Amino acid sequence: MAKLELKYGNHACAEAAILAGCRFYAGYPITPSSEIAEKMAELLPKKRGVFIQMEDEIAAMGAVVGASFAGLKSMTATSGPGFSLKQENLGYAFMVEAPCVVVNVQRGGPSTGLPTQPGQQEIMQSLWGTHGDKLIPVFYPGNVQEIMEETIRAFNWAERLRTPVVLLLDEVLGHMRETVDVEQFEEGKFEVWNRKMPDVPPEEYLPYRPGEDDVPAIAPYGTPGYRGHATGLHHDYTGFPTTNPEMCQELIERLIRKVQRKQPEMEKNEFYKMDDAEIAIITFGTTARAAKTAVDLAREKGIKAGLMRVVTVWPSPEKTIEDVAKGVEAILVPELNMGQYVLEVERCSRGACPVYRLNRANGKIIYPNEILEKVEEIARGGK
Amino acid sequence: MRYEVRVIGSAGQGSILAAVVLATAAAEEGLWATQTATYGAAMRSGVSLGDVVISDQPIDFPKTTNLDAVIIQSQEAYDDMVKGKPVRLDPECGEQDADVLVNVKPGALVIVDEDLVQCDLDCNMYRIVEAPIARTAAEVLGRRQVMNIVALGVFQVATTLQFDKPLISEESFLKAIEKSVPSRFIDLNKNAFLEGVKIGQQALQKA
Repeated sequence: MAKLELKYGNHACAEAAILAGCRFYAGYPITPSSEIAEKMAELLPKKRGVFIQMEDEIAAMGAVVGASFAGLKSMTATSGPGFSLKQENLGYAFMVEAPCVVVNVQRGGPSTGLPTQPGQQEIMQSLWGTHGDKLIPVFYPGNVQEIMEETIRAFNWAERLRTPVVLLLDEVLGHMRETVDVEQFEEGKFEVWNRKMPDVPPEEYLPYRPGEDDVPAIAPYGTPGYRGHATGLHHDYTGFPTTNPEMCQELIERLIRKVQRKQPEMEKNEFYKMDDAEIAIITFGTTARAAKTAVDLAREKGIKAGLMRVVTVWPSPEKTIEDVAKGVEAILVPELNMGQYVLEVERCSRGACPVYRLNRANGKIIYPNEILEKVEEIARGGK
Repeated sequence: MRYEVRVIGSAGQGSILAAVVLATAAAEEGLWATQTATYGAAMRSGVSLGDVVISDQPIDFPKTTNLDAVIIQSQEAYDDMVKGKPVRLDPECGEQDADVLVNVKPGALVIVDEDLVQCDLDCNMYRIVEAPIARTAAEVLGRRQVMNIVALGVFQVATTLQFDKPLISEESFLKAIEKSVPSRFIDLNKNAFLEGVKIGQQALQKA
């Protein structure tokens, strides 16, 4: 039997971060993410870790990159406005290959928006918010149990690929208490990956020389003999700036490739009643929970609906979405924004079936009956 | 099975804590639960509520849409739940008129404080349990603040109106109280819960 315990969403995220080995947290409090910081402030000192509240989100993200370079698994958590401030150093983390986890508990935007209410408006910003070409893994759990799973998974991929990973939550998930089957989080029952260390003597060490997996083995700063340099400028294997066109092109291609080639392994979706579905609902997070109930309601009315809940939002499950599109008559993408992931679904489905939207950005969640109404409309041949 | 409960009251009455204890008790019982609440600063005024969804399997939609039970702790909370204007305040109402609660199933359990709430519901539509909840907290336990936990005791017994046996056992509630309240208040709250069970039994005999 499941060993059930009631956990608060944001606290579950912090607890799982500790389980994954996180020992550094820098942040600046912001609703609805503050409880993650509160819990980390309580837990980290007990693990000889460091919690620091910085003067703002920009500095917090900088501290996270620094701690990561010193060898600690690092994280920060924020919401909309803070996530915008973190973008500059998030891009820096991607460029210098500093593993870290950035949690964004989404509220209503833009700007200060709706601080206490849920949104899903940073689906695109998570990937494209910081300037330049990049590919950042973005995970979006759908319940408190999965918040724990995905937090651990975010740290694992961050460390393995030496990349920042964005963990998206939303206000409902963060501020919800829910039963968690804690058995799977007992010691030794979940995987923890660590970053690789250089396997060459100091004199042969080049911090940014990639391995076969395109990931460099960078020694933690301060490791005797292993000298390094990090810069946001384009750099060569030594870590010092270069403008050599081949080197620059290769760097960006490698940074994207190292994430992209792991896409199949990273991909995670939940399928519900998709086998014979004629109308597929593709969504994530809190909205997916309403969609799941809507699928059951639609089936009661004789409409063959199904759900594909995307957990690894980026890199997107391109092939899977294309296959889904080929197998159904229509796709509906409900989301708490004015239409973001629907663009990706349209792209991936390559015109195989029509793609419909259900959008909202007023701080209210989408209820099952609203998705049902839309599904019925589509089934009737409307839009 | 999907069972939705709301604890609603005025600011400071501990509605959200009661919802947390209830959800924790469900977990102790081996049931799945989600607990959501209004997020805001209702400490001094206004209506505050905590919702709980309980199920024997993992829960899809975490918020409530169609309540199976509601615990009402104050008049303003009651008025907040009523569709339109409460009968009590409507001079044009006749004797046969009754209040209807929003998003509450017909047949749902409605637990109200008999001193604090004037309840004009149709007893053929809801299973109404009226008990001296705040009075018991103040007079028997000496602390009016624990009325929310007394109410949970009433709720625990009253679920026998809907199920063969209580939805959640006394032991699970007592364990949940241990986990949810500061250590120096555990005994007080446990006693509050047990007093609630007593007045709940009396109320059921009356009804």
